[in-house]
Amino acid sequence: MNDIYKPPLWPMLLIGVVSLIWVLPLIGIIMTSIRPEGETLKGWWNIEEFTLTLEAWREVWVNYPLWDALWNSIKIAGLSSLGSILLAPMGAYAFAFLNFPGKKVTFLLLVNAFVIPNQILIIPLFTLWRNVGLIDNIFSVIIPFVALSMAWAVFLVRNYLVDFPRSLIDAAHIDGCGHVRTFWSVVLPNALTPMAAVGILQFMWTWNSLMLPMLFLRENIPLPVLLTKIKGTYEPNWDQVAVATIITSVIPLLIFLYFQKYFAAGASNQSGQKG
Amino acid sequence: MKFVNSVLSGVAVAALATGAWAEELKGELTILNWLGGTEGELIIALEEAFMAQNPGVTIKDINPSAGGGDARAGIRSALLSGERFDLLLNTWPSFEKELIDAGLLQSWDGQWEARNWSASLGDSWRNLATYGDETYGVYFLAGNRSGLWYRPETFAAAGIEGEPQTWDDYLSTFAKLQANDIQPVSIGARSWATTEWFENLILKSAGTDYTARLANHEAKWTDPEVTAVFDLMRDMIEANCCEATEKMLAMHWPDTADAVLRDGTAGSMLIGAWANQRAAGEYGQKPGDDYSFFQFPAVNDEHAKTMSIDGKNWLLMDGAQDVELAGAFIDFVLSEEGSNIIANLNIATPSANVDASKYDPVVAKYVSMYKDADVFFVMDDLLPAELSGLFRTSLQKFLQDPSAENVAEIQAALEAKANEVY
Amino acid sequence: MTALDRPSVGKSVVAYVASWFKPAGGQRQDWVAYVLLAPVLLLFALGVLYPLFETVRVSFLDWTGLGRPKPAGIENYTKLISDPNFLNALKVTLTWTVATTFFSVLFGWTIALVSGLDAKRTLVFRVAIFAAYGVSEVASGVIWLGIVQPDFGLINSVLRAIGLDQWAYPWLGDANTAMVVLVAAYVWTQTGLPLLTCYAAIVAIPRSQIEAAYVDGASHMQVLRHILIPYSLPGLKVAIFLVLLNSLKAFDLIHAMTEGGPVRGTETVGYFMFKEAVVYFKQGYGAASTVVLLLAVIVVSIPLIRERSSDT
Repeated sequence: MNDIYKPPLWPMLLIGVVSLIWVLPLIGIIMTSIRPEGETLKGWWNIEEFTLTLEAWREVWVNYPLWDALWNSIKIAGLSSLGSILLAPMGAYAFAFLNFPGKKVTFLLLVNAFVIPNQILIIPLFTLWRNVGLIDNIFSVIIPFVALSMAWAVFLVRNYLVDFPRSLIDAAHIDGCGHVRTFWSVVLPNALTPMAAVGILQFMWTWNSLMLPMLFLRENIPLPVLLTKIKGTYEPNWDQVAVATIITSVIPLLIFLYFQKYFAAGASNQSGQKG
Repeated sequence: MKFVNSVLSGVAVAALATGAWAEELKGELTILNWLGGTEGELIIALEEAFMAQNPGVTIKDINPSAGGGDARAGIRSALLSGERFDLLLNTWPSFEKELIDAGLLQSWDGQWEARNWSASLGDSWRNLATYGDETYGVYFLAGNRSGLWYRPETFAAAGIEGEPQTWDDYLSTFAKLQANDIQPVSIGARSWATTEWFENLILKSAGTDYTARLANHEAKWTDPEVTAVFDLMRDMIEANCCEATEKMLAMHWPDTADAVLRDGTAGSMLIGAWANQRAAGEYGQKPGDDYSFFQFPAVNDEHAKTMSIDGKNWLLMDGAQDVELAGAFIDFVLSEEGSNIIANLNIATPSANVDASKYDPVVAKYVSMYKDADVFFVMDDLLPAELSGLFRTSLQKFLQDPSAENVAEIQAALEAKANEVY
Repeated sequence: MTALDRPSVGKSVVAYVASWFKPAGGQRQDWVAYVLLAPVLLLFALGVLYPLFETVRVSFLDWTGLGRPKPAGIENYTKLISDPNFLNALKVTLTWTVATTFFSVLFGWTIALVSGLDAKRTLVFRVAIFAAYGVSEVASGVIWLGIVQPDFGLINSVLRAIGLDQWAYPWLGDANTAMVVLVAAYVWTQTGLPLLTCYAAIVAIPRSQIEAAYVDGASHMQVLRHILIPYSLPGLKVAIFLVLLNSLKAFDLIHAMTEGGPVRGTETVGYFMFKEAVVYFKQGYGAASTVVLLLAVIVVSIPLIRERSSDT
């Protein structure tokens, strides 16, 4: 791509300065993880004494089943995202292009469910999962995660679809495609951008969620739950908590970096030209 | 009742003497274990040692993780969902009471007499978990909540000799410390740490009986005894004991430990045994030399022996599969071997079978007091949760405005809440 | 096909609400919609509607969760609306959600727009800002506690170092500054989200359109105003919605930093609900507060709902 214009310098400078504020606490987490706990009690910026050690990095792997938790996190967040990515466009298509009785009230119910706090799910679902033997099964959290995501995911994809060139859909219909075919072969391939957005948001959300996995899972716990176990009641173990925090935050960051490109790719597809 | 117990115990002792040693224990025991950190490791160590002794026994742990800082969330959802387990670890007497009222627990009395646990645990420990005539909890961990932590060096430098014995002694240290540019006391009021002051003052001024009545709402929050405690706290504040109000409200106990024990910028602080773990573990200080504690000074001589404590006990679930096996495990925890597993981790146990030489000097000092002390469980944990919430915020309000008028309002509000929740 | 059924501005809310239930008469009905919606609705019914129904049912009970529930009629509700702590929590929630949503969205949107002018060289900064979104609320709480600690905290240390000792303050000890600190910490965690959605909208702009504008001699500010801003609006809308959703449910950060204090100064309805339902275990009362919050939010968001469903 050849740039017709040369970007000015100030956007970079402005964002650079702002991001400094964002980076500061992140540096704090990293510093806490590579210095002995005693030294950082007065704040990680305090450098009266300064020792670098990877002790906490070693300890936390030895003391806690981090690999298992990481794998559980990946399974839970991955499957939850997949579920949302696949289901949201179906609902969104129906709400964007189809006409059926009960459409408005269903849409309203669905999108306004966003105010429902996680807390209310706990007891009813706990009882239900126990009765069907789903406690400690990762699907006990994946199902509510996907269900809760419908509120915003359907809304998000539908918002994108209403701007979809209707001529394409009409053309598909003229070619004799039913709605399911149209959805599958015309709309879906062109809705990769909002689907990627749903996936990434859902991933982040479920990756860091604590309450449901904490209560519904026993052995198959994801990283955030393990994090609460590292922090003892009376011994804070900040250095090890910092290590686990870094490990927990790195995956979403990688996903973000990857999807950055994906967004751009989806965009050039839509405009029908290569940038 | 007593008769039945002694008959039972006679039978059981005979059984123990004849066949119990030979008979191998078998079966499975399920424990709801929500503890983390060192205490969590302790439970696992106890379980493993017991299983090593009894190869026929398997112990299964259920670990509900602590939700939002309150382990009761996990315990309640486990109970609500019909999760089956035999033993539950508990640290909140008010929760214990709730479980008993809901018919979820059974009494330990049969096992207690049969296995003669009174030889290991004094009566005051048994009373802490006795409701009506029946005992529902067996304490195996206990911590001192009446310790004022300080650095002997700081006190010596200010010319304070010996530990303050009375409240007046204690107040008289303030001027000496201030003359040395030391803030006499550090209080962290962001969360609950102020309640420790109220609790110790009411114990030392009005005694355990009155405090028990207040906690059960048989005494009123508007009583002069309660007003007197606020007056004592006001005396402290007026003597410029502590940080400015906003600063107290911004600090939690670790901040005060930093000031008193690590930095030596303040004289003393009141908190449970965690201060010991923090000082030894995180500041790398030597217990007894670099830092120590003295017991909360006497306000009314009559109640000088009162001591606020916290602890963890074992509750026996109503649906427990094998009460004998559960009893055998508790017996092991209280035994010499079990107690020493606890002591090896420098955690205080009230069991008389412990070898106190395994403790550091600080823990040894308060464990030695357990025998004679008039112990009382931390009052905040006895209050119904809702009243406890108001109790904590009321003390924050008091710090914001310690005037007599405000105290009257606070007392009236507490009394009104108490009327509503009991 | 489906004609868009936009309500006229003057149409009353009641008539409008009634219109939700009317079948769109005279138009073709696409029954296939139910096939597409079936999995969505099934999951939704199981994972959201059923618990919601249970919550409403429990809100009419007096139940500690351990003993037998007793019917309580509307007592939970009458008590709730006269409970000063709940009313206080509603007020705190309003400040909290408005402030956190406004600032995170404003920052995220601005950064996304400015990045639109220079995507390449700002990538690393966007990543830094987004990284904060991956840090759990508990961990953020701990880090921010260190920053505002009264004695050695970063802010007070810096203030003292540059001679502004009198500005050093125990930030969490005063309800007003504690709220500011909490909002700042939460905005720190959340800004990545609007940045993501707004930037996604901007990246989706056909490159040719921007290039054409430059060829026509547009300045950067003109590109910003006439292309980037209008195109970013869908992303902005989604961002407001998502951040609002998050901040209404915020719990861990508040718990880690202030526990709702000092003296309930930072206690939101989400926190109140948690205390009532989980700590005090007054299931009925907690459930009632959830229902009231739900109704309050729906009432407040009626303009949004109108706009949202009018597009359907």
